[in-house]
Amino acid sequence: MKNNDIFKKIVIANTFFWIVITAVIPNLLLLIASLTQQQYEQPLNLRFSLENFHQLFSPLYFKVYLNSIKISVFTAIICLIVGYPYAYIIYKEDRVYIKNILLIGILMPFWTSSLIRTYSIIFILQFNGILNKILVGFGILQRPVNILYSESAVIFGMVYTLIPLMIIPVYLSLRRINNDLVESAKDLGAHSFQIFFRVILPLSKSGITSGCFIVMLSSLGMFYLSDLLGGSKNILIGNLIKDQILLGGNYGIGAAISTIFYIFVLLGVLIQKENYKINFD
Amino acid sequence: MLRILKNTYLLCFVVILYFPITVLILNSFNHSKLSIGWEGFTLGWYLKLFESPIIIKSMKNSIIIGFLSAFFSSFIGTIASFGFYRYRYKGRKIIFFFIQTMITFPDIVLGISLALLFTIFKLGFGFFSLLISHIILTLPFAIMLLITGFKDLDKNILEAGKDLGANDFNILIKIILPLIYPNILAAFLICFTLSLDDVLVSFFVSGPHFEVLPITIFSLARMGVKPEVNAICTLMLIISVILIVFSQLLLKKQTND
Repeated sequence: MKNNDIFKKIVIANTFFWIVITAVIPNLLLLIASLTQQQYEQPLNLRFSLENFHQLFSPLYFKVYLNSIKISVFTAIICLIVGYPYAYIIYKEDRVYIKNILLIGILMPFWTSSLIRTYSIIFILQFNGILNKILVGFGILQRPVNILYSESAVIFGMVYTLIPLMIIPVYLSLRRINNDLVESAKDLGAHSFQIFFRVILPLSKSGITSGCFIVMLSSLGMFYLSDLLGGSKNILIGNLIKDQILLGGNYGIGAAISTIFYIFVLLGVLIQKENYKINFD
Repeated sequence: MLRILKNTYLLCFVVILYFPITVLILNSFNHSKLSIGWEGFTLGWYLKLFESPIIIKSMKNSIIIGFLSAFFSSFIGTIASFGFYRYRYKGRKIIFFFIQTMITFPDIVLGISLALLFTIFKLGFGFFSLLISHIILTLPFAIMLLITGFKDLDKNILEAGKDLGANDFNILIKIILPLIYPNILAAFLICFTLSLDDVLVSFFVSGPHFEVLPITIFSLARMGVKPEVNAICTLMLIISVILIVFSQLLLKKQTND
């Protein structure tokens, strides 16, 4: 039985080791870096300072945050409006094979590289791209316009790459709905619009919040998307962090922004506790 | 009326979702250098890939990193989820909570925190930093996948093994592994694709001498559309789709049995 104990210890130690390395140490370092002032070439010292947060709120960066948050809010709203019906249709579909096809249809983009999907949008939006050709061909536009390298191109790209992240949680929350509630609403004489707006929509709220949350958080960091589709004018929080670290070796701003991200993630986790219930027993 | 509306919506949705990728794939076979109109079929851009040492090198790097990180993640993940399944210990719930939050965390934060780690401990940026980062990136997904596999196991089998005198190591190797290997393989494939597709973490932890494919694609794509990039993107898409389809088939077979 002694060997058994050793084995048990190895198993548990392995888990602790990797989670401590993966979750705790790097994030702790980031937290420390955000609360200390960086000196040249030395990202970490232990003198407490709020300089990074002070810098964070300088009006210089304010436009970037505003722009970035605006884009992510728009993205989440459009993803929700466009994606919710898709999730609802999957949920409503009775035929298993069609349900599976629809699910695969949204999971495929989820699993393929978002960089490649972002790149493929250039074909559609560029000056001599397909969208311009269609618009000119139908006589909607007199001559091609520049769609690429604009804010709308960035929002389109975000919606295009992030919409699976909205549809999946919404679908999962719809699937959790107890069908008896829908049936009893029907028995009590509610028509289908009432059932949708007063039973199903409120019950899928947890999926909507987690979908919006994931989409917004992801969109704040996607610097490659704004680089490829937004040109140099549309800078996001992600670009700011990237430039500070890569060009200036300055971890302070990135660390401070990440700390704010932590707070948001923790808030999000607290808001939707039921999704985080321990359910492996 | 509602039916027509629904079908129109679905049609538009799927067409818009898949149209850009289809255009990309078609253009990788297009003779036109500017990818504007169709000028005839060619495989030339794929052949040209082999003349580009940068792309070939980072493709090789990507495959090595993807393979190794997927291997380690599924290995460590199997042991960790066995621990979750078999033992009750202090901190078990906190660890599981960490794993769940790590999946929701924005990748860019993971990228910066790891870059900071490697800078502070002066570990350098290259093969090692990428490998560790990709293990960290994929491990939570591997564990979540494997835990569902363990959850489906019949607990009686475990009890029977224990009654017959098997120790935990033997239970894992002789009883659980043969039952759960499709999940492990699926976890491996999914980790491989995640590693292959990752931009945000790799961007911060790769070095000038060791780049992975998404980083190379990103720097090439910034100059606009290029036929060689179309070809390599198409190859990557095909690889991802094959791996994912295969992993889903493995998981499905598991639930059907």
